[in-house]
Amino acid sequence: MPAESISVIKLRGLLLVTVPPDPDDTTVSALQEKVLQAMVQHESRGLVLDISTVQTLDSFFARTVVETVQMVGLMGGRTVLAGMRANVAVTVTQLGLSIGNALTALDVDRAIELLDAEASKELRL
Amino acid sequence: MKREVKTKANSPAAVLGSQESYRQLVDSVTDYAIIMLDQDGHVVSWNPGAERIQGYTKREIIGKHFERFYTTEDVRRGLPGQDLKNAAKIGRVESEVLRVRKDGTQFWANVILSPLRDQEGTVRGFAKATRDLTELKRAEETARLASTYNRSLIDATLDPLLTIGPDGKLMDVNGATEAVTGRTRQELIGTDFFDYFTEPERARAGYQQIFRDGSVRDYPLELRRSDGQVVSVLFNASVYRDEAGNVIGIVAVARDITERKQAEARIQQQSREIMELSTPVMHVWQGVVVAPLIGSLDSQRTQQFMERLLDRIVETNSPVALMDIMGVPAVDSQTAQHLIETVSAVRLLGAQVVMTGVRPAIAQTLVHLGIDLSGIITRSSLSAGLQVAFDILEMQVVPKDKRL
Repeated sequence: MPAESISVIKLRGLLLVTVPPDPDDTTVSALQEKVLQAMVQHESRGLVLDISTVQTLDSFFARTVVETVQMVGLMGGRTVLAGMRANVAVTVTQLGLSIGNALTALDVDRAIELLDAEASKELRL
Repeated sequence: MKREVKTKANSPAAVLGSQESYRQLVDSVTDYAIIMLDQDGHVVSWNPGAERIQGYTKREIIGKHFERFYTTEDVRRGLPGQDLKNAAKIGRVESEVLRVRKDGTQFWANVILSPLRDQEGTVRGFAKATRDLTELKRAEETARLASTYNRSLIDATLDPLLTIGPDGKLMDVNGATEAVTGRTRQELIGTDFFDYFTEPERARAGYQQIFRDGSVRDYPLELRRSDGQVVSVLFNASVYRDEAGNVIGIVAVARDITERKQAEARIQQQSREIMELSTPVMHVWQGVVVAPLIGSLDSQRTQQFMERLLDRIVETNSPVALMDIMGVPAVDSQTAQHLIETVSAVRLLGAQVVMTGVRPAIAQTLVHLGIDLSGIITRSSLSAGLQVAFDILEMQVVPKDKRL
C-alpha cells in the first residue's frame, strides 16, 4: 500500500487515521510524519488510530506507534488505538510488545467518546 | 776591493745569509712568501712559500723589481715606492691588499714590510712577508653570506622573532618585533625582555618555564607598545644551544592576536546582545507570561533565561508561564535537560509551565532521544498553550454576543 494513500481525517478537533491492513516500514514512517504535520496544522487535541483492518503487528510497527503516541503527546494530543483485532491483541501480548501509554477503544465511535471525556476531565483540572 | 767587500757585507743577502739555519727556516715556510728586497725594491731572496703563492720561481724573480706584485692601478698610484718609504720611516707596514700572481690573477694578501738596517742604522733592504688570504676571504665571504641569509630569514619572518640571553636581555630582534613594539632594534637590543609586558612577572614565569621544559607553546602575554597601546600576543619559544649543547639563549616567536581577540570580543558581545534580544518574557495576560525561546540553548543562556523568567513570574505574579520552543532549531539531550531544569525552577515558585511550539521535528527528536517530558504539559502551538493557561486559571474566553 503506497504511503500517499494514507488519509488523515480532521474530525471535531480530532485526527482520524485508518491504518492500512498490512503496512510496510515505509508506510508506517510516512504515517507518523503525516500525523505530526496534521497535529500542527489543525491544532488537534487528539488522535484516533483505527487499526481495525490491521492483521499483523510487527515490532517496528509497534515501536513506531508507541513513539507516535509520545510525539503526539508532546504536541498536546491524546492518542487512542481503536478496534484492535483479537488475534493481534494476542500476538502483542505474547510477543511482549508494549503500546506505551496509548489509550485503547473497541471502535472509532468509542474512541471519540473517550477523547471527549478526557478533554472535559482536563478542563475540570 | 775594500768597497766591494763592504757592499757585499752590507747587502741584504749578506745580512740574512750570515745565518744558514735562519735561511733553512725561511725555506721551510710554504704558507708565507718571505722575501727580501734591496733598498730600491729589487728581489734578492725568494722562498718556496713565495713561489707557491706568487707563482715565480727563484730563478725568474731574483733581481726583478717588486712592483710587479702590485696591481697596475696601485703601481700607477706609486704605491710600491711609497710602501718602501713608509716602511723605512715607520719601521713596519702591514696591509691587506690585492696582489698579482705571475699568471696575472689577483688575490687578497696580508703583507708585512719591514726595513733591514746595517749596524749604522742605514736601511739596506726590506723583508717582506706575504700571506695568501684567498681561503680566509672565501671563508669570510661564506660566513657573511650565511649571516646575510640568516638575517634575511629572521627579518623576512612576519611574526615578531626575538632571541633572549640567559640574563633575560634581548639579544636580537627582527623587523616585525620593531613594528609590534614600536621601538627600533637599537632601542630594544640589550634591554630587559620582561619590561615590555603588562605583566612582567608572567613574562618572567614563562621565560623560566622555557629553561625548565625546553620550550613553551602559545604562551599568552600582553605587549606594551611605546605609544602605550597593548598588543595581545601568543609566544612560542624554545631554548637554543651552542655546538657543545649548552643553552645559550631563547628564540621566541610572538603571534599578534590582537585582531583575533578583538573579533572574539565582538562575537561575544554580539552573542550576548542576541541572547538578550531573544529571551524576552512577556506578560500577555493577567497571570500568564510567555517566553519565546529563539536560537540554540547553551548552559550560560539557559541560566540567564531561567533568571529572567523567574524574575518576571514573581514580578507579574503569574501562576502560568508559557515557554515557547518553536524558535529552537534543534533539541539535543543537553538542551532538553536545560528546559527540564527551567520547568523545575518555575515549579519551585509555585507556578506552572506549559511548553509550547513543539514542532513535529522536535517531538520526534525528544522521543528518539528517550527524553521523558511526561511531567510537563506540552502543546504544539502557543494558542493551544494559552488555552491550557486559561484552563489552569479557570478562565474562559467568551465571544462578545454570548456575554450576559
